[in-house]
Amino acid sequence: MKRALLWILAILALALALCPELVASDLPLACRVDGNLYLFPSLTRPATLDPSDRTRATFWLGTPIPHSPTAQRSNGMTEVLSPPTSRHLLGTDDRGRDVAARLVHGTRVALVVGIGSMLVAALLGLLVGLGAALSRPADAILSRVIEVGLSFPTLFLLLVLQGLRGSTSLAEVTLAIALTQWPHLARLCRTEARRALAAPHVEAARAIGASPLRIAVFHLLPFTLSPLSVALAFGVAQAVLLESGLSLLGLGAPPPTPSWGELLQQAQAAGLPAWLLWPPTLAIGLVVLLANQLGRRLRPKGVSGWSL
Amino acid sequence: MAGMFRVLVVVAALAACKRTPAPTDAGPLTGATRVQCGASCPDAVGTAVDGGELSIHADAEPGILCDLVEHDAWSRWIVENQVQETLLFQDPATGAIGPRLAASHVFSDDKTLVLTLRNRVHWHDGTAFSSADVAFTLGLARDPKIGADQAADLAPIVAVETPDAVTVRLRLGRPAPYLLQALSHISILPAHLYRGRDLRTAPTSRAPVGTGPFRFVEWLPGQRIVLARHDGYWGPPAHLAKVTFRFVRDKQVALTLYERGELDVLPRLPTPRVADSLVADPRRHGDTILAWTPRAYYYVVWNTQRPALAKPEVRRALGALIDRARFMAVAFGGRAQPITGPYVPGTPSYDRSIAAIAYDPVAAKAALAGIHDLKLTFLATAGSRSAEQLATQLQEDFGRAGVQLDIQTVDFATLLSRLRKHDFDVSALQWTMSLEQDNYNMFHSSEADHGQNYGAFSDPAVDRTLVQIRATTDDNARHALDRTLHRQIHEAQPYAFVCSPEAETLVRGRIHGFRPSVDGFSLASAWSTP
Amino acid sequence: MTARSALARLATLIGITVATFLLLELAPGDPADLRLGRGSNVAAVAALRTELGLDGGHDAGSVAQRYLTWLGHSLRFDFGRSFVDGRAVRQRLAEALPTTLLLGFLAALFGWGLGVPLGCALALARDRSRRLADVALSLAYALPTASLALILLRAGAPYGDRNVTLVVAALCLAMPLWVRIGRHQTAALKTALASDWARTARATGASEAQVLVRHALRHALLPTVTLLTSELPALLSGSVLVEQIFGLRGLGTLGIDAVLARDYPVLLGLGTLGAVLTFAGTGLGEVLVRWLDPRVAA
Repeated sequence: MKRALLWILAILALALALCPELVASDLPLACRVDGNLYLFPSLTRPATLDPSDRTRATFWLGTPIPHSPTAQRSNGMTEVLSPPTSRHLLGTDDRGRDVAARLVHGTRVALVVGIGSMLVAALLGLLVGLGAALSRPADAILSRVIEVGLSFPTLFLLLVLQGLRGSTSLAEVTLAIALTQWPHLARLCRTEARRALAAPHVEAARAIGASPLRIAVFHLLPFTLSPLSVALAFGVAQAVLLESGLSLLGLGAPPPTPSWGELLQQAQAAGLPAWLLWPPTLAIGLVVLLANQLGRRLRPKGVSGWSL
Repeated sequence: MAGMFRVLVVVAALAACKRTPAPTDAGPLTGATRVQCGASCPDAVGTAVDGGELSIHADAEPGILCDLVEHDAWSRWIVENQVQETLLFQDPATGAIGPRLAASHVFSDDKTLVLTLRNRVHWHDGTAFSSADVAFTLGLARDPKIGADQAADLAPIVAVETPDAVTVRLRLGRPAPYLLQALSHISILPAHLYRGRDLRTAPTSRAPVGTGPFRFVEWLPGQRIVLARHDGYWGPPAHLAKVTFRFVRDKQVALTLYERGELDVLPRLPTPRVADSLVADPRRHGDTILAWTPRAYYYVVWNTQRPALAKPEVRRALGALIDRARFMAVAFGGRAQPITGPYVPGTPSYDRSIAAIAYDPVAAKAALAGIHDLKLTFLATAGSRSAEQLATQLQEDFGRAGVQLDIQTVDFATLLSRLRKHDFDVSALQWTMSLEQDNYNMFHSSEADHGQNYGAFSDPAVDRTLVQIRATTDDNARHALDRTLHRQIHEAQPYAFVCSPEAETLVRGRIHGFRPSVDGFSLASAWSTP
Repeated sequence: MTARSALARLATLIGITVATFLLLELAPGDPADLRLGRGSNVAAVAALRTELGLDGGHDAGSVAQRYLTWLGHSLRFDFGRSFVDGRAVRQRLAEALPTTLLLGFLAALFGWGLGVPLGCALALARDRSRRLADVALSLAYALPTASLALILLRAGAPYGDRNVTLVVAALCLAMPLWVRIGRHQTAALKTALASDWARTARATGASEAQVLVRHALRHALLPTVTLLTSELPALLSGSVLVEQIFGLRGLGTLGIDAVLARDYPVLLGLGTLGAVLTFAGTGLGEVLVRWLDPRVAA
């Protein structure tokens, strides 16, 4: 894939994740109602403005997809589970919500969970991996901890976390996924750090008595950053797939959060209608593709591996 | 390879095409026939034929097959009055009590019920059935530690006497209005196989022995349970030679198996759309879809311990924000009946004059105007599509009225523990009723700690009515009290009654006399033409 | 396997069981209350909790004692009885294990069986077709397994026939695997094909394909097989999602049911079994690698 295309798509995805309200919302990008000018009301959601004010507005610049991902009432009963029409480009879901809007807003969940969980996992992985590499006694314990972590099922962890915190929230799903991925990153960091420790300048630093912390930050960290970023990229793909899988099982972000996995779950329940099955499939596929391509680009030539 | 990818695209395109065949010119009624059952499904036409097999789709596998301790519905549907039998029989339409293992039941005086058992009844293993089995079973059912569903209904019994092998005398310490109904739903267990053993781990609980028209043949865990006709049955023998309950979790998969001829009955079709497509599908010509209403209701429970929800006016206003019609259309495709109270509509206990709270967002918003910043959390069961649909609908409608509703989804085990601890604001549940429903556990203030009174509802007038109901054996008097309770509950709104969803059962054309109900299936009177 | 690494593995296994045990202690929900359904009352719940062994205290001492009791039993392969149906956990695990193992091995078979030839074909292909194939592979790899499973299910995979369902499910699981293996194999082959002795073989007149099969493959196969040590354990642990969608009753489905029903003995047994399978997978991978190339140190 061309490098430029890759970066454009990645930035687009990030933009969509940060402000989906600018693409899909029941409030407009700008409008003039009763003499008042509203700028980006879809973001600010002023209390004085209501979607029904459109009829009274003198100027109304709507978002490309003029629907909210959670509004059910604005769509009549005939529009429940309806295939694509001119009003709803990707049709509606099982209670009349616009699928295109939910798809766009789902980007936020996918990327927040995908990137967020990997960042947390990377932090944990770095701490444990570097710690294990630096001290022999810590290694004995931490290696076992890493192995234990590698054998733990995501689902089970999520169910328990769910009970302890009392709900499934986006933060919890992110945390749970992070807790299942950090052992892989820790193992990677540990391997790379140990390799780095054998390098001459690191040995020299140790010889002159540099503290472990100094060695970790100034000598080991640069070595591990490259493979870590590769693993992160592949990990984001993995995390997005995991989140969609969890949502499919009904254990993802709580309703009414729009999520691609939740669209798949609805597709399954409704007998796999095309407009509920393909948009999330393609969206997930695209993000996974992007992340994988990114990982391959970041990887120095000749190295295979460094994925999870 | 690119080729593999192209194959995938083709496969996917095929899959994406709807699989409903085009309706023929003859009109939409060339497929399955939809029969609307009223109080009960219409009787079968034609003469019964002996022999034949029936394969029923079971969407969940019970843990064990012992009704007393296994509370899964399928355990009851497979065992009760198929393999094992109850003492009495309750007509699902009228509620009239008739004989079964007990040939007659007489109240010799106010406080004694004498049951005369049938003669010459034998267990499937040949042992004679006697009053000892009844005493054994009732002893277990009365024991609170066993946790039988009917323990509360049997609580008035102070002694069970068995003067001889065919007589059982129950001595009552106080009025027992639900006793006969309870005796119609307790399967009598073989004492000689269970004595001294734990009900849950006894081998008989995995291979039940009974006196019924069917005997247990085999249980292949994860796959099927098979029953066969018991030729030595004391009553008119069943027609079907073999009944198989096949475990398939996914209802869509079950439909495919039905289409391939591997299943003959689907007790619950997955969605109304599926039912409609079957009615239009000419391949299903001759098959029947029975549309019936199980005795169950879907309700929203308010936690009255929360200061915001303590006042009935607030609960009534919130109840007016529930658009029941829309929910019924979205969640059940319109196939649901309205319901306003905790009794079976159409029975004398149900007060027909009570009108449901109308959906009135304007009035509700006005009524709630005095309360500022009302924030509630809806606790939904993960995996329940309808609970989630209700939650999102309420979130939007409550939002417009100025009430913020957040949604939390937890799995059922967590939900149950939080309901018990009253650690919630709003939740939605389903409850299956008995024909004569004792609502004490639901609404009495003493049941807030460990009963079904999850909302910790407490109302002295309601408490008094509930106690009175339990003490009234005369049916007409009790039904009048039931109607009073119905009105009281409607005023107080501890629950917002939402609807009574319908069920649609698909039965293959060659099967006759098959009737579904919340208590099970009419397997003994069903037959199959070749 | 040396004694030291065996000891390390054992320590990890103990660690897993401890972690699982602690997680279960913290999990909300009462299995007894759940099981009793509508018949639940204070006396019944208390009686059932005693029967199930759940009524100990929650301080560190009782928890430790309960764990050690469980450990003692499990060393004799007695994982107790399921809370759901009272049958031995051992039996329930034994019923679910073959499906998961079969699924894993079939997926591995498809993964390598299709991936290696794919890698060879790609190594031999011309630049343009290779780039096209690369794009197609990336797209195929990006297709979420869940969607693929749903599509295959709806496209009419015969459900009644368990064996065919297993094959289709394994294909589903194997998809990302054979793309990864294919790519891995291609990279390894390209290195091997560029080596000195390959050039020598070419100089003696062998065709590219002959060079590949007779010389390069043997050397290039090793890195791919090394992948076994990392992929096989994950496969063997089963894919919960695929099992759920295809309705296969393997360890994954057993696990989900056990979590929902708070069936602690089954969960503990499952955790242990899962860990053992992971180690078996890793061990098997190492044995295979060593067999293929004795030069590789343990």
